[in-house]
Amino acid sequence: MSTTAPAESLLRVDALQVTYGPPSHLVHAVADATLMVEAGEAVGLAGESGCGKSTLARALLGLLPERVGRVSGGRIRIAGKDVTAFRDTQWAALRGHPVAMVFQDPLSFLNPVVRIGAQIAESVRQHDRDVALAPRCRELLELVKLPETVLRQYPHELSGGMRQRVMLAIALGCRPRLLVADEPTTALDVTTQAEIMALLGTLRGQLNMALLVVSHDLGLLRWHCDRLYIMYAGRTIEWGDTVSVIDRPAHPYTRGLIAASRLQRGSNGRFGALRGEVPALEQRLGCPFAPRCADAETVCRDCMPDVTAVTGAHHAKCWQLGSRDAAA
Amino acid sequence: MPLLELRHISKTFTRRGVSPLRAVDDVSLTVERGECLALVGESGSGKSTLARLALRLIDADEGEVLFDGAGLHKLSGNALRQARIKMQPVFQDASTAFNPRRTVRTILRQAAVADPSEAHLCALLERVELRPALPLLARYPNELSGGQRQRLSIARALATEPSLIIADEPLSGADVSVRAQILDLLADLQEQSGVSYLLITHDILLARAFSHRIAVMHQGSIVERGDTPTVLHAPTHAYTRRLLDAVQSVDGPVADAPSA
Repeated sequence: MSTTAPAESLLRVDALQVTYGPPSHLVHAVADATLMVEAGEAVGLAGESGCGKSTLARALLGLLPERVGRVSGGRIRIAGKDVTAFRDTQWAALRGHPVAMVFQDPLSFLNPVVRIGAQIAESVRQHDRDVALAPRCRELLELVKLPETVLRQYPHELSGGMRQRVMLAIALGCRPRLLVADEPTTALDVTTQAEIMALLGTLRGQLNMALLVVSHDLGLLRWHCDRLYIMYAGRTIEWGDTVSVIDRPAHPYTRGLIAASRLQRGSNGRFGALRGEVPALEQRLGCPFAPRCADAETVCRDCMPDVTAVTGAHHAKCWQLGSRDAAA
Repeated sequence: MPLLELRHISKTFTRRGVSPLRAVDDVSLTVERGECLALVGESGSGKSTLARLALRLIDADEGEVLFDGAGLHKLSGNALRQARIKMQPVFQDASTAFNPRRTVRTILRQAAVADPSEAHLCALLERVELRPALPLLARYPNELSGGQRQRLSIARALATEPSLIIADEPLSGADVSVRAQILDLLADLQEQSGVSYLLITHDILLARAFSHRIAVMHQGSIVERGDTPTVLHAPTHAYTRRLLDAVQSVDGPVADAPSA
């Protein structure tokens, strides 16, 4: 990857579209996604179930289900290289290094009948053929703060938090420059969750590795990411610095999501700030949030809003943006 | 007299070849009328076992469960069934809480034994804001969204006019925006009918939002209990402090934020 010009982002996704299913029943899981991750940066991708965030994450590693899902538009560039049309053999060279991924449920991604040591060694061998295996495996375990005895154990003998650390060790074995973590702590207890997120933060600094954390949990992303992207119905609808997005959300959906994740009564004595539920994925003309939006006007229902700059690097897609800013 | 009282309840699970696990160890607690007690703990703390003991879905090794002053452990058969009508569970995973082969109508009719009329079933659905109610009655659980299914499980619990709802992680499976809506619903129901809640959760934010009192459970025992604001702002047990420190909210540490 040494041919990369220094100005090129580590990851750049433009107007990405991913569809599932046969032409007669196409589902647009990702309809229009924009995403950028710079080297060493921690970026959060937030949204509710069905918003396309996991599909987007999988598309970044060419992991869409074969023959069912495909990239139907837009562009993915990794370290300056256009990978949008990559074939499986070409992807194989990129997975692990420069981009690796950890998933929500480590148990279903670890081989139940192979010892942890062999599973970590397999990943090390993928990209470092000449390295001495045993010391490298020990080094990886040390990075994720697991005892060496784990090498001789099987996945079922470990706790959920330890399994997630093993997944991390396997991912780190490839020396990724970008680690995509899809709901890395959702299945874990709160105290374990805090430990794993702290570990991810430490590793990021230690290894100068960028992080893309995909989660429904805005509270978690708030504390561990430099920048945030909010997704709704297959579209990135707002993004910017974490503090800016959380403190001054511009899109009504983001505002509702933040209010709802507080689980505190608003001024009206209610917990809920968002009406209705996440819509089924379908093609519609206007803003996908319009049916749930209290301020929706005709233009919202008829036309897709463009990207508007809120401040500097903070962007959102909402027709109401100009007037709302004036009111605030 | 408290609505629900657990007195020195213990439960040990034994399995051949595995050392016995004392899941609940000498726990006493009360739920008063019209209040919400949050039982907070992590996985393996014994909180769900305690819920099942309170419902007498399993029997305690020691101690007793008093509901409305009557000892549940002494009851059996019909008498137990009658007592249980007033205490209803709402579980975490609404997708497995229903028989998939029964329509919403059948599911509700089985619970609403006192008045299984169509009008009453519709009224139940409307109480949990499932509208329009009539066409929903013919649907199957898998045809509903996750949020709708959780509302349906609350409607089923309400069908017997319970005085206590034991809710085990009622929001865990729901999306962020839907969670707040269901919380509003639970709050409205308490206001209307004075129903009490035993809320079992790992989520301190939820306990803060909704409960009057908190009991913190750790390794089978209750390590701390008290009024919700007191426990959140001045925790005395090290484990409670660890739990509070681990919470990641959009606003910052829980102890600094105003409580409900």
